[in-house]
Amino acid sequence: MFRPARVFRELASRPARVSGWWHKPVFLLAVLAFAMSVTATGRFSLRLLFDAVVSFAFIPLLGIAGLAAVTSRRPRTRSFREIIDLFFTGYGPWLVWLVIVAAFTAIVPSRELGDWIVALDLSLLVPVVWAIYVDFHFFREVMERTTGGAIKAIVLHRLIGWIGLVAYFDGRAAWSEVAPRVASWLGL
Amino acid sequence: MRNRVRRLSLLLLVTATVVGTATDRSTRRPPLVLGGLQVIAADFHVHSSMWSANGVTPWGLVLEAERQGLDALAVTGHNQVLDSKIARWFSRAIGGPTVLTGEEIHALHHHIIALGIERMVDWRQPAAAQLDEVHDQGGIAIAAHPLKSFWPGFDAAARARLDGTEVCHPMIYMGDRYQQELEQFAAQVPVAAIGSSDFHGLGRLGMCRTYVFARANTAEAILDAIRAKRTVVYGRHGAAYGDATLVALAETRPELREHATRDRARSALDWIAIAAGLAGLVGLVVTRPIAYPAASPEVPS
Repeated sequence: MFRPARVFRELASRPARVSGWWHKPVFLLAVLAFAMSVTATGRFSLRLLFDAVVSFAFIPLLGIAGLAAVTSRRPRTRSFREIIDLFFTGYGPWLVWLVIVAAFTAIVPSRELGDWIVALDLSLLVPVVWAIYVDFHFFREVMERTTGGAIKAIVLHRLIGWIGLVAYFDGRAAWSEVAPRVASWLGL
Repeated sequence: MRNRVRRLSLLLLVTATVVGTATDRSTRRPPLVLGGLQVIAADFHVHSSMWSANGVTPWGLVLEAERQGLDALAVTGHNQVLDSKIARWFSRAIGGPTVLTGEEIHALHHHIIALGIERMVDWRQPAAAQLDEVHDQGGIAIAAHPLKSFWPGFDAAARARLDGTEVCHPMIYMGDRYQQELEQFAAQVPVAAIGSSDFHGLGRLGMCRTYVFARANTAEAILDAIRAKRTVVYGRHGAAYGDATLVALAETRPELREHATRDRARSALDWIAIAAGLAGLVGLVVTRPIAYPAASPEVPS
Protein backbone atom coordinates (compact mmCIF):
# COMPACT_ATOMS: atom_id res chain seq x y z
CA MET A 1 0.00 0.00 0.00
CA PHE A 2 2.87 2.35 0.68
CA ARG A 3 5.07 1.46 -2.30
CA PRO A 4 2.58 -0.01 -4.75
CA ALA A 5 4.73 0.46 -7.86
CA ARG A 6 7.51 -1.73 -6.51
CA VAL A 7 5.11 -4.33 -5.06
CA PHE A 8 2.99 -4.66 -8.18
CA ARG A 9 6.12 -4.84 -10.37
CA GLU A 10 7.43 -7.67 -8.22
CA LEU A 11 4.11 -9.50 -8.23
CA ALA A 12 3.64 -9.06 -11.95
CA SER A 13 6.94 -10.83 -12.52
CA ARG A 14 5.81 -13.92 -10.57
CA PRO A 15 3.82 -16.86 -11.90
CA ALA A 16 0.06 -16.55 -11.85
CA ARG A 17 -1.80 -17.32 -8.62
CA VAL A 18 -5.36 -18.37 -9.28
CA SER A 19 -6.33 -20.37 -6.19
CA GLY A 20 -7.75 -18.29 -3.35
CA TRP A 21 -8.58 -15.39 -5.70
CA TRP A 22 -11.72 -14.79 -3.65
CA HIS A 23 -9.87 -14.34 -0.33
CA LYS A 24 -9.44 -10.58 -0.55
CA PRO A 25 -13.01 -9.78 -1.69
CA VAL A 26 -14.36 -11.94 1.15
CA PHE A 27 -11.94 -10.36 3.61
CA LEU A 28 -13.15 -6.90 2.53
CA LEU A 29 -16.75 -8.02 3.12
CA ALA A 30 -15.86 -9.45 6.53
CA VAL A 31 -14.16 -6.23 7.68
CA LEU A 32 -17.14 -4.22 6.39
CA ALA A 33 -19.47 -6.47 8.39
CA PHE A 34 -17.50 -6.23 11.64
CA ALA A 35 -17.15 -2.46 11.25
CA MET A 36 -20.87 -2.07 10.51
CA SER A 37 -21.85 -4.20 13.50
CA VAL A 38 -19.91 -2.06 15.94
CA THR A 39 -20.78 1.25 14.26
CA ALA A 40 -24.52 0.61 14.19
CA THR A 41 -24.92 -0.96 17.61
CA GLY A 42 -21.69 -0.66 19.58
CA ARG A 43 -21.03 -4.40 19.68
CA PHE A 44 -19.89 -7.39 17.64
CA SER A 45 -22.92 -9.59 17.24
CA LEU A 46 -23.57 -12.51 14.89
CA ARG A 47 -26.99 -11.24 13.86
CA LEU A 48 -25.49 -7.92 12.76
CA LEU A 49 -22.57 -9.58 11.00
CA PHE A 50 -25.06 -11.61 9.00
CA ASP A 51 -27.07 -8.46 8.34
CA ALA A 52 -24.07 -6.52 7.13
CA VAL A 53 -22.85 -9.37 4.90
CA VAL A 54 -26.27 -9.40 3.21
CA SER A 55 -26.32 -5.61 2.98
CA PHE A 56 -22.79 -5.07 1.71
CA ALA A 57 -22.20 -8.11 -0.51
CA PHE A 58 -22.80 -5.81 -3.45
CA ILE A 59 -19.63 -3.81 -2.73
CA PRO A 60 -17.04 -6.47 -3.64
CA LEU A 61 -19.36 -7.64 -6.43
CA LEU A 62 -19.47 -4.11 -7.84
CA GLY A 63 -15.69 -3.91 -7.54
CA ILE A 64 -15.33 -7.12 -9.55
CA ALA A 65 -17.92 -6.02 -12.11
CA GLY A 66 -16.14 -2.69 -12.58
CA LEU A 67 -12.84 -4.52 -12.91
CA ALA A 68 -14.28 -6.81 -15.57
CA ALA A 69 -15.43 -3.77 -17.51
CA VAL A 70 -12.03 -2.09 -17.50
CA THR A 71 -9.83 -5.14 -17.98
CA SER A 72 -11.39 -6.74 -21.03
CA ARG A 73 -8.04 -5.95 -22.68
CA ARG A 74 -5.45 -7.58 -20.45
CA PRO A 75 -2.03 -9.20 -20.77
CA ARG A 76 -2.33 -12.78 -22.03
CA THR A 77 -0.32 -14.09 -19.11
CA ARG A 78 -2.91 -12.86 -16.58
CA SER A 79 -6.15 -14.64 -15.81
CA PHE A 80 -9.11 -12.61 -14.51
CA ARG A 81 -8.95 -14.46 -11.19
CA GLU A 82 -5.37 -13.38 -10.68
CA ILE A 83 -6.29 -9.83 -11.62
CA ILE A 84 -9.06 -9.83 -9.00
CA ASP A 85 -6.61 -11.01 -6.35
CA LEU A 86 -4.09 -8.32 -7.20
CA PHE A 87 -6.62 -5.54 -7.67
CA PHE A 88 -8.24 -6.01 -4.27
CA THR A 89 -4.92 -5.03 -2.70
CA GLY A 90 -6.11 -1.50 -3.53
CA TYR A 91 -8.89 -1.81 -0.93
CA GLY A 92 -6.30 -1.81 1.86
CA PRO A 93 -6.72 1.94 2.59
CA TRP A 94 -10.48 1.39 2.97
CA LEU A 95 -9.90 -1.43 5.45
CA VAL A 96 -7.68 0.80 7.58
CA TRP A 97 -10.24 3.62 7.46
CA LEU A 98 -13.10 1.26 8.35
CA VAL A 99 -11.28 -0.06 11.40
CA ILE A 100 -10.43 3.46 12.61
CA VAL A 101 -14.04 4.63 12.16
CA ALA A 102 -15.37 1.49 13.88
CA ALA A 103 -13.08 2.08 16.86
CA PHE A 104 -14.05 5.74 17.01
CA THR A 105 -17.80 5.13 16.91
CA ALA A 106 -17.50 2.32 19.46
CA ILE A 107 -15.89 4.65 21.98
CA VAL A 108 -17.68 7.98 21.43
CA PRO A 109 -21.25 8.18 22.83
CA SER A 110 -23.85 8.31 20.03
CA ARG A 111 -25.05 11.81 20.89
CA GLU A 112 -21.52 13.19 20.66
CA LEU A 113 -20.86 11.73 17.22
CA GLY A 114 -22.56 14.75 15.67
CA ASP A 115 -19.59 16.90 16.67
CA TRP A 116 -17.36 14.70 14.54
CA ILE A 117 -19.50 14.18 11.44
CA VAL A 118 -17.65 16.77 9.35
CA ALA A 119 -14.27 15.34 10.38
CA LEU A 120 -15.49 11.81 9.58
CA ASP A 121 -16.75 12.94 6.18
CA LEU A 122 -13.48 14.72 5.41
CA SER A 123 -11.49 11.69 6.53
CA LEU A 124 -13.06 9.82 3.60
CA LEU A 125 -10.70 11.72 1.33
CA VAL A 126 -7.73 9.75 2.68
CA PRO A 127 -8.86 6.27 1.53
CA VAL A 128 -10.36 7.71 -1.66
CA VAL A 129 -7.05 9.30 -2.73
CA TRP A 130 -4.86 6.55 -1.32
CA ALA A 131 -6.82 3.81 -3.10
CA ILE A 132 -6.59 5.73 -6.38
CA TYR A 133 -2.81 5.93 -5.91
CA VAL A 134 -2.59 2.16 -5.35
CA ASP A 135 -4.92 1.38 -8.27
CA PHE A 136 -2.98 3.67 -10.59
CA HIS A 137 0.10 1.54 -10.04
CA PHE A 138 -1.94 -1.63 -10.41
CA PHE A 139 -3.04 -0.58 -13.88
CA ARG A 140 0.45 0.62 -14.79
CA GLU A 141 2.43 -2.39 -13.56
CA VAL A 142 0.03 -5.32 -13.74
CA MET A 143 -2.20 -4.30 -16.63
CA GLU A 144 0.65 -2.63 -18.51
CA ARG A 145 -1.37 0.49 -19.24
CA THR A 146 0.07 3.88 -20.15
CA THR A 147 -0.38 6.73 -17.65
CA GLY A 148 -3.42 7.97 -19.61
CA GLY A 149 -4.80 4.45 -19.91
CA ALA A 150 -4.43 3.85 -16.18
CA ILE A 151 -6.24 7.10 -15.38
CA LYS A 152 -9.05 6.24 -17.81
CA ALA A 153 -9.42 2.77 -16.27
CA ILE A 154 -9.61 4.22 -12.75
CA VAL A 155 -12.19 6.83 -13.77
CA LEU A 156 -14.37 4.20 -15.45
CA HIS A 157 -14.00 1.78 -12.54
CA ARG A 158 -14.96 4.46 -10.04
CA LEU A 159 -17.90 5.60 -12.16
CA ILE A 160 -19.29 2.07 -12.23
CA GLY A 161 -18.64 1.60 -8.52
CA TRP A 162 -19.97 4.90 -7.24
CA ILE A 163 -23.01 5.02 -9.50
CA GLY A 164 -23.82 1.47 -8.42
CA LEU A 165 -23.34 2.42 -4.78
CA VAL A 166 -25.62 5.46 -5.01
CA ALA A 167 -28.26 3.49 -6.95
CA TYR A 168 -28.24 0.67 -4.39
CA PHE A 169 -28.17 2.85 -1.30
CA ASP A 170 -30.48 5.62 -2.40
CA GLY A 171 -32.79 3.63 -4.62
CA ARG A 172 -35.60 5.74 -5.97
CA ALA A 173 -34.44 8.72 -3.90
CA ALA A 174 -31.33 8.88 -6.08
CA TRP A 175 -33.64 9.69 -8.94
CA SER A 176 -35.84 12.14 -7.01
CA GLU A 177 -33.01 13.99 -5.33
CA VAL A 178 -29.77 13.51 -7.23
CA ALA A 179 -31.10 13.71 -10.79
CA PRO A 180 -32.71 17.18 -10.41
CA ARG A 181 -29.54 18.52 -8.79
CA VAL A 182 -27.32 17.15 -11.55
CA ALA A 183 -29.71 18.59 -14.16
CA SER A 184 -29.56 21.96 -12.36
CA TRP A 185 -25.74 21.93 -12.30
CA LEU A 186 -25.72 21.14 -15.98
CA GLY A 187 -28.10 24.05 -16.60
CA LEU A 188 -30.83 21.78 -17.97
CA MET B 1 5.45 -14.14 13.63
CA ARG B 2 2.81 -12.79 11.26
CA ASN B 3 0.86 -16.06 11.42
CA ARG B 4 0.95 -15.96 15.21
CA VAL B 5 -0.44 -12.41 15.26
CA ARG B 6 -3.10 -13.41 12.76
CA ARG B 7 -4.21 -16.40 14.82
CA LEU B 8 -4.33 -14.30 17.98
CA SER B 9 -6.32 -11.60 16.16
CA LEU B 10 -8.80 -14.13 14.89
CA LEU B 11 -9.19 -15.57 18.39
CA LEU B 12 -9.85 -12.08 19.81
CA LEU B 13 -12.43 -11.34 17.14
CA VAL B 14 -14.23 -14.66 17.62
CA THR B 15 -14.26 -14.15 21.41
CA ALA B 16 -15.64 -10.63 21.01
CA THR B 17 -18.36 -11.92 18.70
CA VAL B 18 -19.32 -14.77 21.04
CA VAL B 19 -19.54 -12.37 24.02
CA GLY B 20 -21.33 -9.71 21.95
CA THR B 21 -23.86 -12.25 20.70
CA ALA B 22 -24.44 -13.82 24.12
CA THR B 23 -25.13 -10.43 25.73
CA ASP B 24 -27.21 -9.16 22.81
CA ARG B 25 -30.62 -9.27 24.45
CA SER B 26 -33.94 -7.55 24.09
CA THR B 27 -34.53 -4.74 26.61
CA ARG B 28 -38.26 -4.42 26.02
CA ARG B 29 -40.07 -3.77 29.25
CA PRO B 30 -43.57 -4.73 30.37
CA PRO B 31 -46.25 -2.31 29.08
CA LEU B 32 -46.18 1.00 30.94
CA VAL B 33 -49.57 2.61 31.61
CA LEU B 34 -49.86 6.27 32.63
CA GLY B 35 -53.14 8.17 32.90
CA GLY B 36 -55.00 5.16 31.54
CA LEU B 37 -52.96 5.14 28.33
CA GLN B 38 -50.16 2.83 27.26
CA VAL B 39 -46.82 4.59 26.80
CA ILE B 40 -45.28 3.32 23.56
CA ALA B 41 -41.58 4.04 22.92
CA ALA B 42 -41.34 4.46 19.16
CA ASP B 43 -38.94 5.47 16.41
CA PHE B 44 -40.81 6.55 13.29
CA HIS B 45 -37.96 7.37 10.92
CA VAL B 46 -35.66 4.41 10.29
CA HIS B 47 -33.89 3.29 7.13
CA SER B 48 -32.84 -0.18 6.00
CA SER B 49 -30.19 -1.52 3.68
CA MET B 50 -32.85 -2.13 1.04
CA TRP B 51 -32.15 0.98 -1.01
CA SER B 52 -32.16 3.49 1.83
CA ALA B 53 -28.51 3.96 2.78
CA ASN B 54 -28.07 1.74 5.79
CA GLY B 55 -26.18 -1.46 6.55
CA VAL B 56 -28.96 -3.09 8.55
CA THR B 57 -31.68 -5.17 6.89
CA PRO B 58 -35.41 -4.64 7.61
CA TRP B 59 -35.47 -7.73 9.88
CA GLY B 60 -32.23 -6.58 11.53
CA LEU B 61 -33.92 -3.29 12.41
CA VAL B 62 -36.75 -5.15 14.14
CA LEU B 63 -34.27 -7.08 16.29
CA GLU B 64 -32.24 -3.95 17.03
CA ALA B 65 -35.43 -2.09 18.02
CA GLU B 66 -36.10 -4.78 20.62
CA ARG B 67 -32.57 -4.38 21.95
CA GLN B 68 -33.03 -0.61 22.20
CA GLY B 69 -36.23 -1.04 24.20
CA LEU B 70 -38.58 0.22 21.49
CA ASP B 71 -42.21 -0.93 21.43
CA ALA B 72 -42.85 0.31 17.89
CA LEU B 73 -40.94 1.44 14.85
CA ALA B 74 -41.56 2.56 11.31
CA VAL B 75 -39.19 1.50 8.56
CA THR B 76 -39.32 4.38 6.13
CA GLY B 77 -37.63 3.63 2.84
CA HIS B 78 -36.69 6.43 0.49
CA ASN B 79 -39.70 6.69 -1.81
CA GLN B 80 -40.66 3.03 -1.34
CA VAL B 81 -42.63 0.92 1.14
CA LEU B 82 -41.35 -2.59 0.42
CA ASP B 83 -38.82 -2.78 3.25
CA SER B 84 -41.40 -1.64 5.80
CA LYS B 85 -43.70 -4.49 4.72
CA ILE B 86 -40.85 -6.99 5.10
CA ALA B 87 -40.10 -5.63 8.58
CA ARG B 88 -43.79 -5.84 9.54
CA TRP B 89 -44.03 -9.44 8.32
CA PHE B 90 -40.89 -10.42 10.22
CA SER B 91 -41.92 -8.69 13.42
CA ARG B 92 -45.34 -10.34 13.37
CA ALA B 93 -43.64 -13.71 12.84
CA ILE B 94 -41.41 -13.36 15.90
CA GLY B 95 -43.84 -11.40 18.09
CA GLY B 96 -41.62 -8.32 17.93
CA PRO B 97 -42.42 -4.62 18.23
CA THR B 98 -45.29 -3.07 16.30
CA VAL B 99 -44.07 -2.10 12.84
CA LEU B 100 -45.83 0.69 11.00
CA THR B 101 -45.49 0.59 7.24
CA GLY B 102 -44.43 3.80 5.59
CA GLU B 103 -41.89 5.69 3.57
CA GLU B 104 -39.83 8.85 3.59
CA ILE B 105 -41.14 10.88 0.70
CA HIS B 106 -37.93 12.30 -0.71
CA ALA B 107 -38.67 15.38 -2.77
CA LEU B 108 -36.13 18.02 -3.71
CA HIS B 109 -37.28 20.70 -1.23
CA HIS B 110 -38.90 18.68 1.55
CA HIS B 111 -38.90 15.27 3.14
CA ILE B 112 -42.07 13.80 4.66
CA ILE B 113 -42.50 10.68 6.76
CA ALA B 114 -45.67 8.92 5.71
CA LEU B 115 -46.91 6.31 8.22
CA GLY B 116 -49.67 3.74 7.94
CA ILE B 117 -49.67 3.60 4.14
CA GLU B 118 -49.47 0.55 1.89
CA ARG B 119 -48.66 2.16 -1.45
CA MET B 120 -45.87 4.50 -2.42
CA VAL B 121 -46.79 8.18 -2.70
CA ASP B 122 -45.68 9.98 -5.86
CA TRP B 123 -42.89 12.40 -4.79
CA ARG B 124 -43.30 14.54 -7.93
CA GLN B 125 -46.58 16.06 -6.70
CA PRO B 126 -46.74 19.28 -4.67
CA ALA B 127 -46.33 18.67 -0.91
CA ALA B 128 -50.03 19.27 -0.15
CA ALA B 129 -51.08 16.70 -2.77
CA GLN B 130 -48.65 14.19 -1.30
CA LEU B 131 -50.17 14.73 2.14
CA ASP B 132 -53.68 14.29 0.76
CA GLU B 133 -52.62 10.99 -0.77
CA VAL B 134 -51.17 9.85 2.57
CA HIS B 135 -54.46 10.71 4.32
CA ASP B 136 -56.49 9.03 1.58
CA GLN B 137 -54.62 5.81 2.40
CA GLY B 138 -55.53 6.22 6.07
CA GLY B 139 -52.06 7.31 7.08
CA ILE B 140 -50.49 10.28 8.79
CA ALA B 141 -47.69 12.64 7.71
CA ILE B 142 -44.74 14.00 9.67
CA ALA B 143 -42.36 16.76 8.57
CA ALA B 144 -38.91 15.12 8.50
CA HIS B 145 -36.02 17.16 9.95
CA PRO B 146 -37.64 20.48 8.95
CA LEU B 147 -34.56 22.68 9.24
CA LYS B 148 -34.71 26.19 7.79
CA SER B 149 -33.50 24.98 4.38
CA PHE B 150 -36.62 22.77 4.13
CA TRP B 151 -39.17 25.39 5.21
CA PRO B 152 -39.92 26.68 1.71
CA GLY B 153 -40.89 23.11 0.77
CA PHE B 154 -43.83 23.31 3.17
CA ASP B 155 -46.24 25.96 1.90
CA ALA B 156 -49.34 26.99 3.89
CA ALA B 157 -51.46 24.24 2.33
CA ALA B 158 -48.89 21.60 3.26
CA ARG B 159 -48.44 22.90 6.80
CA ALA B 160 -52.19 22.75 7.35
CA ARG B 161 -52.18 19.06 6.41
CA LEU B 162 -49.30 17.84 8.60
CA ASP B 163 -49.99 15.54 11.57
CA GLY B 164 -46.59 15.74 13.22
CA THR B 165 -43.17 17.35 13.03
CA GLU B 166 -39.78 16.14 14.19
CA VAL B 167 -38.50 18.15 17.14
CA CYS B 168 -35.83 15.61 18.01
CA HIS B 169 -33.48 14.41 15.29
CA PRO B 170 -29.80 13.40 15.70
CA MET B 171 -28.82 16.69 14.08
CA ILE B 172 -29.81 18.53 17.27
CA TYR B 173 -26.74 17.04 18.89
CA MET B 174 -24.55 18.89 16.38
CA GLY B 175 -25.49 22.26 17.88
CA ASP B 176 -28.21 24.37 19.50
CA ARG B 177 -28.98 26.01 16.15
CA TYR B 178 -30.51 22.78 14.81
CA GLN B 179 -32.71 22.28 17.85
CA GLN B 180 -33.87 25.90 17.58
CA GLU B 181 -34.78 25.54 13.91
CA LEU B 182 -36.86 22.42 14.60
CA GLU B 183 -38.56 24.25 17.49
CA GLN B 184 -39.30 27.29 15.31
CA PHE B 185 -40.96 25.12 12.68
CA ALA B 186 -42.97 23.30 15.35
CA ALA B 187 -44.14 26.66 16.71
CA GLN B 188 -45.60 27.49 13.28
CA VAL B 189 -47.27 24.09 12.89
CA PRO B 190 -49.22 23.03 15.99
CA VAL B 191 -49.08 19.27 15.46
CA ALA B 192 -47.76 16.25 17.38
CA ALA B 193 -44.14 16.45 18.56
CA ILE B 194 -42.09 13.62 17.11
CA GLY B 195 -38.60 12.34 17.93
CA SER B 196 -36.91 10.09 15.36
CA SER B 197 -33.41 8.78 14.85
CA ASP B 198 -33.38 8.88 11.01
CA PHE B 199 -31.21 5.81 11.53
CA HIS B 200 -28.69 5.23 8.75
CA GLY B 201 -26.31 2.98 10.69
CA LEU B 202 -24.45 5.65 12.62
CA GLY B 203 -25.49 6.50 16.17
CA ARG B 204 -28.21 4.40 17.76
CA LEU B 205 -31.67 3.33 16.71
CA GLY B 206 -34.09 5.20 18.98
CA MET B 207 -31.54 7.80 20.09
CA CYS B 208 -34.33 10.27 19.34
CA ARG B 209 -37.64 8.62 20.17
CA THR B 210 -41.32 9.43 20.60
CA TYR B 211 -43.37 8.38 23.60
CA VAL B 212 -46.85 7.84 22.23
CA PHE B 213 -49.74 7.70 24.71
CA ALA B 214 -51.98 5.22 22.92
CA ARG B 215 -55.00 3.12 23.85
CA ALA B 216 -53.10 -0.01 22.74
CA ASN B 217 -49.86 -1.01 21.10
CA THR B 218 -51.29 -1.40 17.61
CA ALA B 219 -50.55 0.50 14.43
CA GLU B 220 -54.07 1.96 14.34
CA ALA B 221 -54.00 3.09 17.98
CA ILE B 222 -50.57 4.68 17.50
CA LEU B 223 -51.74 6.60 14.42
CA ASP B 224 -54.85 7.76 16.32
CA ALA B 225 -52.68 8.98 19.21
CA ILE B 226 -50.46 10.99 16.86
CA ARG B 227 -53.51 12.56 15.23
CA ALA B 228 -54.68 13.52 18.75
CA LYS B 229 -51.17 14.92 19.56
CA ARG B 230 -50.71 12.52 22.46
CA THR B 231 -46.91 12.41 22.31
CA VAL B 232 -43.93 13.38 24.46
CA VAL B 233 -40.40 13.87 23.12
CA TYR B 234 -37.12 14.67 24.89
CA GLY B 235 -34.66 16.80 22.91
CA ARG B 236 -31.29 18.49 23.40
CA HIS B 237 -30.35 19.02 27.06
CA GLY B 238 -33.36 16.86 28.00
CA ALA B 239 -35.97 19.52 27.10
CA ALA B 240 -39.48 18.03 26.89
CA TYR B 241 -41.93 18.68 24.02
CA GLY B 242 -45.53 17.70 23.52
CA ASP B 243 -48.83 17.84 25.36
CA ALA B 244 -48.22 19.60 28.72
CA THR B 245 -50.38 17.16 30.72
CA LEU B 246 -48.63 14.17 29.22
CA VAL B 247 -45.21 15.76 29.76
CA ALA B 248 -46.09 16.10 33.45
CA LEU B 249 -47.21 12.46 33.53
CA ALA B 250 -44.01 11.33 31.83
CA GLU B 251 -41.93 13.21 34.41
CA THR B 252 -43.23 10.80 37.05
CA ARG B 253 -41.18 8.09 35.35
CA PRO B 254 -37.56 9.37 35.14
CA GLU B 255 -36.46 6.32 33.14
CA LEU B 256 -38.40 7.66 30.12
CA ARG B 257 -36.17 10.74 29.93
CA GLU B 258 -33.06 8.67 30.63
CA HIS B 259 -33.74 6.16 27.83
CA ALA B 260 -34.44 9.01 25.41
CA THR B 261 -31.34 11.03 26.20
CA ARG B 262 -28.59 8.57 27.11
CA ASP B 263 -27.00 5.52 25.51
CA ARG B 264 -27.70 2.21 27.16
CA ALA B 265 -24.98 1.67 29.80
CA ARG B 266 -22.25 -0.82 28.93
CA SER B 267 -20.89 -3.36 31.36
CA ALA B 268 -17.19 -4.07 31.90
CA LEU B 269 -17.68 -7.24 29.86
CA ASP B 270 -19.10 -5.20 26.97
CA TRP B 271 -16.05 -2.93 26.98
CA ILE B 272 -13.64 -5.87 27.12
CA ALA B 273 -15.42 -7.52 24.19
CA ILE B 274 -15.30 -4.31 22.15
CA ALA B 275 -11.61 -3.78 22.91
CA ALA B 276 -10.82 -7.39 22.04
CA GLY B 277 -12.80 -7.22 18.80
CA LEU B 278 -11.18 -4.00 17.70
CA ALA B 279 -7.71 -5.33 18.53
CA GLY B 280 -8.52 -8.44 16.52
CA LEU B 281 -9.68 -6.36 13.55
CA VAL B 282 -6.53 -4.23 13.66
CA GLY B 283 -4.38 -7.35 13.87
CA LEU B 284 -6.07 -8.98 10.87
CA VAL B 285 -5.95 -5.85 8.73
CA VAL B 286 -2.33 -5.10 9.57
CA THR B 287 -1.10 -8.62 8.95
CA ARG B 288 -3.02 -9.10 5.75
CA PRO B 289 -3.71 -6.40 3.23
CA ILE B 290 -0.98 -3.95 4.23
CA ALA B 291 1.92 -6.40 4.34
CA TYR B 292 0.63 -8.79 1.72
CA PRO B 293 1.51 -9.06 -1.13
CA ALA B 294 4.99 -7.60 -0.58
CA ALA B 295 7.41 -10.53 -0.21
CA SER B 296 4.70 -12.42 1.64
CA PRO B 297 5.16 -16.15 2.21
CA GLU B 298 1.58 -16.49 0.89
CA VAL B 299 2.71 -15.43 -2.55
CA PRO B 300 4.04 -18.48 -4.34
CA SER B 301 7.52 -18.02 -5.71
